[in-house]
Amino acid sequence: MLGTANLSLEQAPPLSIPFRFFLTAPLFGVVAGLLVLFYGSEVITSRWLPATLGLTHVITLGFLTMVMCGAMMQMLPVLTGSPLPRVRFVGASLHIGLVVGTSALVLSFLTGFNVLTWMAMFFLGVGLGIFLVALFVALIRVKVTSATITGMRLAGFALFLTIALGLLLLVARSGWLEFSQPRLWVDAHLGWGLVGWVGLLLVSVSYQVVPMFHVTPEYPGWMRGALGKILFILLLAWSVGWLMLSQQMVSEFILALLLLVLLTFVVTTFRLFLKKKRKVRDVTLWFWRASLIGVLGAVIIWFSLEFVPPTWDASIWALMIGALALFAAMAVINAMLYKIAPFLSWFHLQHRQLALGCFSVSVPHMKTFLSDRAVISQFYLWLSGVMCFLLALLLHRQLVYPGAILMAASNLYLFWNLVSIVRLYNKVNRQLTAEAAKPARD
Amino acid sequence: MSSITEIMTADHRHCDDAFAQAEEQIAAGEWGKGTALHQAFVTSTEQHFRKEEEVLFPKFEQATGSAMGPTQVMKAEHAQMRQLFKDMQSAVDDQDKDRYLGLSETLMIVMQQHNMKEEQILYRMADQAFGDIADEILHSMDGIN
Repeated sequence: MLGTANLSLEQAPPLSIPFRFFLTAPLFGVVAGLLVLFYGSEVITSRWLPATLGLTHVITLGFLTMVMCGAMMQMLPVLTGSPLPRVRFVGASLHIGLVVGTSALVLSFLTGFNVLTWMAMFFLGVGLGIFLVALFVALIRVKVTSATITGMRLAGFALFLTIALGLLLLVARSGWLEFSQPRLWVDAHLGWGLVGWVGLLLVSVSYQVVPMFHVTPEYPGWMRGALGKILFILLLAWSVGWLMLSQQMVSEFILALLLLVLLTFVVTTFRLFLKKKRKVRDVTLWFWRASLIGVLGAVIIWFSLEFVPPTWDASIWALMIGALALFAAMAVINAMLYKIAPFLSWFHLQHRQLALGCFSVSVPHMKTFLSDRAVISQFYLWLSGVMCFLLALLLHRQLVYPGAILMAASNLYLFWNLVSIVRLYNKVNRQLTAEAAKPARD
Repeated sequence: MSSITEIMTADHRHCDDAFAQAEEQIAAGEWGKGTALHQAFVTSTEQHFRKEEEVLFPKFEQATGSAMGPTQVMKAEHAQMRQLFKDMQSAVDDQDKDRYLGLSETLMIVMQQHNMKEEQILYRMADQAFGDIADEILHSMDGIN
């Protein structure tokens, strides 16, 4: 029996839910830039310094997780026919949890105050916990499954593990618990967060979004079916090897396999873009290309370090891999935002226009919401920021300062572009309401 | 026996091709070719819509006993796309390239997310629901032109 009653294809949440996440993320991006400006080259000295830990969490929670969760709330009904239950409540709690929790966490890293650590644990734990429960319920209710849904389930599980490990580490930080080798647990937290949550979700969403936004051929069937599961199993094997068995050789070998799997995905995506049917210029692809090159670079550096002993300080290369991975994830998300935000605004407005039968007000198309020029300018600002950071690691540390300013500026620009979309949306929405309220003329 | 999912998905890919060709010519400023290709794209998409609205959706509603479910949403999105076709036609008439490309960008996403819902949810449900009568339904859809 098919439960069509449960499967309405349109249960999209109100526009304000995804947009509050989209608008908040670039502000955390600005904070990331300011943190670097304030703490200077210290952030590129070692991954264990408080400022570096603060910076990575501003990016991973404040920017990446912020957008990914907001977009998931929007996409679940479209991709799966199964919306998050109580989406307004979940959206509000998660948003507050992420904003307050991330801020408290970063301040706790920087100041070491225990009360901030507890606050971070409470807000992040509760906000993300509520989201995960809702996500779990929505994904159980899915009637027809697909590779993306399997990927979302695995990514959700990875997020759960990342949070659980993160909370444990915070408990240890506040002195209530002691790990014999805390750094191993930090690595597990990082692996599940970056490869499991961010990587798996972006990979499985790409199966849908790349063909949808860029009219490319589909990803190969075997890849969609197997890649997510393989990544997940490898990650599981890696953490067991790393944490329980302390088998460094085995873990390194598994990590190498994991990176090769990621590499397959990157190469395939490149090939799909080359084969895209749509030939017109698409500036959001610039972000995609930069991101794929970033992942490629990170993987190449990792393998080089395995085979050729580093001539420089190895910790610089570890930071380089981390920076490339974070920049790559930020770029893909930036690209997706530039498709999703104008599209959703148009979609809601045109839906209203048709429902009201109000054709005297014209609904602007996507490029009125966001011009190619605005995207290109922000891209160049972003890219120059990234270049400064990478060169700061390789050549001259003082380059982090222009890097920080450019990073803050490009995020401010992203914020402005998104705000302009919302303003135009509100303006046309008001026009539609006013027009519909006019008495009908003969 | 081909399934509804396979045949209708192939139909979507055909429309995508026509769309990409029209857009490419118009972006290059080739209004002569572009206009003809745009018309060809709209014609094949309209034909696809009618296959669904006149045959597939009513049969689906009968088989599942629901006229307010997914088919309703699909029809609403057809209406959205038809509105975009009209706007694009006026951009073609005015030879307004930027407007056409802004509208085609918009249409492309509506179309792709619409196709995705049909290919991954609705057609699969239809294949499950129809069972023996699937061939007959495919045959009636062939009659639409």
